[in-house]
Amino acid sequence: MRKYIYSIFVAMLALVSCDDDDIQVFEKTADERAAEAIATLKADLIEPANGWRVKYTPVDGAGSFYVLMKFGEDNKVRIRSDVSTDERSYVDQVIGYRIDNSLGLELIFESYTMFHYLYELDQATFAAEYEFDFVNKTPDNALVFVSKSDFSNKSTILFEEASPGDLSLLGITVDENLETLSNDFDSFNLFSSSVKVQFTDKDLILYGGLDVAKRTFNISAAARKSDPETFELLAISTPYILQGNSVLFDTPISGNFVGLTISVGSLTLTSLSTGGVQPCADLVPIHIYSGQTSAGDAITLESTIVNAGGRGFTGSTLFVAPLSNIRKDGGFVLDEIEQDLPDASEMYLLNNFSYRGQIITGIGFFLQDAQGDNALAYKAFSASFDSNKVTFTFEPDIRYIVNEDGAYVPDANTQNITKYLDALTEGGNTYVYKYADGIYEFNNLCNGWTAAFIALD
Amino acid sequence: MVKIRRKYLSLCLVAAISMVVPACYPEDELNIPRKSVVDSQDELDERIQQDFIDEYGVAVRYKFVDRYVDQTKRVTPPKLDVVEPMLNFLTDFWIRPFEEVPNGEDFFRRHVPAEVIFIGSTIYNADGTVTLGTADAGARITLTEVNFIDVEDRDWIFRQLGTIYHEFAHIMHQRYNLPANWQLLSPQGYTSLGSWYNLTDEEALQRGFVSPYGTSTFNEDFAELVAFYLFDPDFHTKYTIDETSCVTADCTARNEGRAKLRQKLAAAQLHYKQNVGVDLELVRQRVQARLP
Repeated sequence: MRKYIYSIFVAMLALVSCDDDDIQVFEKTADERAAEAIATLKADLIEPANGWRVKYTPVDGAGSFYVLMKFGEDNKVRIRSDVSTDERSYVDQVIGYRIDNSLGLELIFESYTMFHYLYELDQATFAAEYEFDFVNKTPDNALVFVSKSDFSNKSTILFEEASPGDLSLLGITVDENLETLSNDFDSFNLFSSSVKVQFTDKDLILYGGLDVAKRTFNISAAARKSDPETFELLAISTPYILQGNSVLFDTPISGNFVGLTISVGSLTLTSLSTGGVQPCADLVPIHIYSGQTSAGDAITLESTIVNAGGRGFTGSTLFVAPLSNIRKDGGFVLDEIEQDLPDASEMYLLNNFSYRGQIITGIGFFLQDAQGDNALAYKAFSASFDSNKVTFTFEPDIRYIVNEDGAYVPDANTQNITKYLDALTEGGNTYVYKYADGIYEFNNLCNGWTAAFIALD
Repeated sequence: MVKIRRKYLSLCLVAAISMVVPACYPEDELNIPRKSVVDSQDELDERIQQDFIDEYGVAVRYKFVDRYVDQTKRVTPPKLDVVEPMLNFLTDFWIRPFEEVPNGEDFFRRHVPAEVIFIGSTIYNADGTVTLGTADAGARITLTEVNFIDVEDRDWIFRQLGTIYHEFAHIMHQRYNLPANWQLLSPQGYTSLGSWYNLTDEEALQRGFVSPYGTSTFNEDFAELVAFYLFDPDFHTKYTIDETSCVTADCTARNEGRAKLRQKLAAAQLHYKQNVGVDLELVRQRVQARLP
């Protein structure tokens, strides 16, 4: 009997499912409805005479980019931006676009654009995006998209109808000149960016760094033009957007710095000239961008080897540099260190570091042998400063901080730490730059050696 | 009697269901309207249509489709201006070397996979790591890093050719099986599932393989061997010619590995010759002549 019940149940299922299929919930098939939705979005994209304007902010904390897009019936889109890198590939390009229907409508750019370029920054860890799900059309006819390519924290992108004059928003020349300026010290293989805003008619210089790709500007110190040793360490960082000839800061740079009160919401940059610096034998050309602040003060924005912000390292007492942070001419020296100092795992910098009742200022390597016994082998030094230029005077002997057991036995290799300390400091040509919060780069500008130290306190 | 009645009832139920189910779809027709596809007027698309789809039956996809990689990974599309040079690269280093040898053109046309995918970037994984290259087991060839095209850069060329020849070699064993006794040539050398990446190149050679990945399966071993043989100018120095005056155990082990690789190479060459009439040595010569 049970078999009959199962059979009847199966038959009912078949009948019921047939019934459901026969009901027309929608007047049109799924394919027809999807095609209609795609056609509607495409019509919306094509509609504006001047196309769309997007103020694109890839991620919180980064700057923004104006992007202008004009979609065509022929499935081509003209994208214009002021991302001038890669020989202006992304300044004005025509590529294919497509609207796909998956869980919703997706706007697909079929070839590489400035969105993809931004996505790939820092090995694709910058969290920009390049693929967009359509959300809705707002009452004022803007189109809302949300990123599909983000794994998390999906960004919202607003397409607003562009105006005829929006092309003037793009700051292509400024972006290109800022990139040129930021490459001035490539010959030093400097990790860090080092720029200064020098006020023509005020006794003030702002030192900092510029990230042209992510569009952030940071100020790490302010100093008197007349006396560079009168300086004040700062920690100001602001994203920016380009607008024509101007750099507009998201947050104005405001305050009283070394006795002068300023408020700078933007810099208008008008002419690029060249100059030079000569920390070593050869003159290194630099670029100087002239303009004025939003308050009307004449300024120059230029690359600088002198940067009082580097002195910020004196605020910490203990630093570590993984061996991969030590470079020669921009390349790793891991193999060389491995050969010279087989037991070395990190480089350390101690700056008035208090240890067992001693105050230690020194630089050296952490060594650990096969038995796990370890020691910090260092040379004590005294330093003299000229802004961010440091001259080291080492004591002759290598000293050791050993672990509690004290079992580490130095060998002949240990003497090789001197080779690296000398390389980093020789000639008194070591300049310190703030790479990021808590990270300082010690670069010997005259021999290609550099090391980035991370503050541990 | 009970049995007969049960049987009768069951038959009735089956008959009823059979009648009801088809009755649900009285107006179903097989001639469902097909979606129309308008041929692209784009010069690039026309070249692909003419030189690849019409000529060989292989579709070259350069327009971005995120489903070409799984959803835990991210890739970017090719730059538009690298697509044409990539088509030339495929022609010069893949199609021509086969077409220029006896029986090669026929072999190529009959065995070419249906799709070649261009991906601009490397493959970015969700955990922040990257994957170089990809494998699709013969049906499709996916080329990554095409945005970095540099036909003067041997490293870039070898990465691309490694992928192309590897995937194209898979088709041989899919159609004609592996060479006879392939599995017996270095049976102890294969690695357990998913552990090939723990091996170094040196260890792989000592086991009789051209790469650690080759130790993962018999099929990958075959595909890696054929690929390396075709693109690597130093193939024989590295993998088939014994080092002389061996005085270390490692050297002896490498030469033992090379003995196995000589057997494998001979087996692979014979396999191509017997099944498709293509002399791999001649194909290699054509490839090598084109390298910068």
